[in-house]
Amino acid sequence: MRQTASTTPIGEAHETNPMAGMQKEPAQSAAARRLPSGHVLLRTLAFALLGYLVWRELDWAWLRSHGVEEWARDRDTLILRIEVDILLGIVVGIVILEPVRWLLWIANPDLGASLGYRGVRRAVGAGFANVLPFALLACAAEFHTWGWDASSAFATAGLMAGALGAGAEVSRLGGKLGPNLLLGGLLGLCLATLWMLILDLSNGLY
Amino acid sequence: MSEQVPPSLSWTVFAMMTSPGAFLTQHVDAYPWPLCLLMSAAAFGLFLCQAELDLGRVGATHRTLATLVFETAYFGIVVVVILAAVAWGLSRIGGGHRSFRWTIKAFALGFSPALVYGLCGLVCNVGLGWNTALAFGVTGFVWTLRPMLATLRELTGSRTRWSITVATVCGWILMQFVDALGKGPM
Repeated sequence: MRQTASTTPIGEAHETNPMAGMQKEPAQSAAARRLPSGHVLLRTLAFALLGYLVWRELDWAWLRSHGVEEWARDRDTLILRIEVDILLGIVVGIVILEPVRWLLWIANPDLGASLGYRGVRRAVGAGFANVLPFALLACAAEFHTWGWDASSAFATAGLMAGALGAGAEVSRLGGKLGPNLLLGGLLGLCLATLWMLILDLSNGLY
Repeated sequence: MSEQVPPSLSWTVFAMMTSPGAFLTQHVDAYPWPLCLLMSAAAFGLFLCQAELDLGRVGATHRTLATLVFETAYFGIVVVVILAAVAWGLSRIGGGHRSFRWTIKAFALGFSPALVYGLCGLVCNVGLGWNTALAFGVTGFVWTLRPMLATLRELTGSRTRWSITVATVCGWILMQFVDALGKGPM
């Protein structure tokens, strides 16, 4: 069962930290109570929408030239392809969050000692929940709601905002604001670049 | 009690771009609201100038200087007040406690990224002859979503789901205005 921030057992918060037993219990309890929710559903929805956007950007002419034209002719296959791309978006979302968590955990040894990996994990999750409004508006832009296509601007800004938000969330738990924001910004830049590369690959540029 | 002195303009813009949440909780009360609205109006003004220059290159320029000034003031003030009213009203439903004046100031300061992008875009537009209304102008407004999220988080008492919902609604409204603005005079 998913636990709320106020009921997180202390032992679980320190599962990866051998120094955990040296902390005073009242401080641990206060720290555990401060843990934000990871917002798994919001994050998953955001990355699913980003996955759908990649599908929209796929260059079918390029794919056909590589002998996959028979792959998706009928409606059932089309729906399957959308599902696969949404699933891929979710998987990529899970995969790319892990190095972000890991680096922010390494960069905040004090926080890691008091809250464990779980604390940083939840903070990063809460930060990346910020991607959702960007992803929703990116989808709206993709359907030319406003007469211009700026879905990439929404998506890259969303990834940057997510990573910066993760840094801010970690600092809210007790980490230093400046270094965490800097690290978050750099990671966001990497994620935004990765996103652009994926889109370029989908467009058949490489 | 001594009155708060607002941080410098450059620091305000930088802080609103990098860490809006922390900045909003500490400094927004120190700013007079006309200064905040001046920042949002400047952001819209820079975007309008870029749109006009882009349209001018294809021979479709329409705005006179008076129209440009009027629309800058109109969008810079009215759009911020509309967005703040929507956000404030929805945050009240979700149990928000901040005043309407605070909301207007926070939303207006949230246009700092658009101001920076607008400035860079105008330099590239004039200096290099690029069409920048979409690449810089719209991207700047997209970036206002981050300070908006931080404002809404503060407004809703850190209710993430509610703040994301309201941010999407406000982002949608903002983009409608940006789209209307980029197409030509009202």
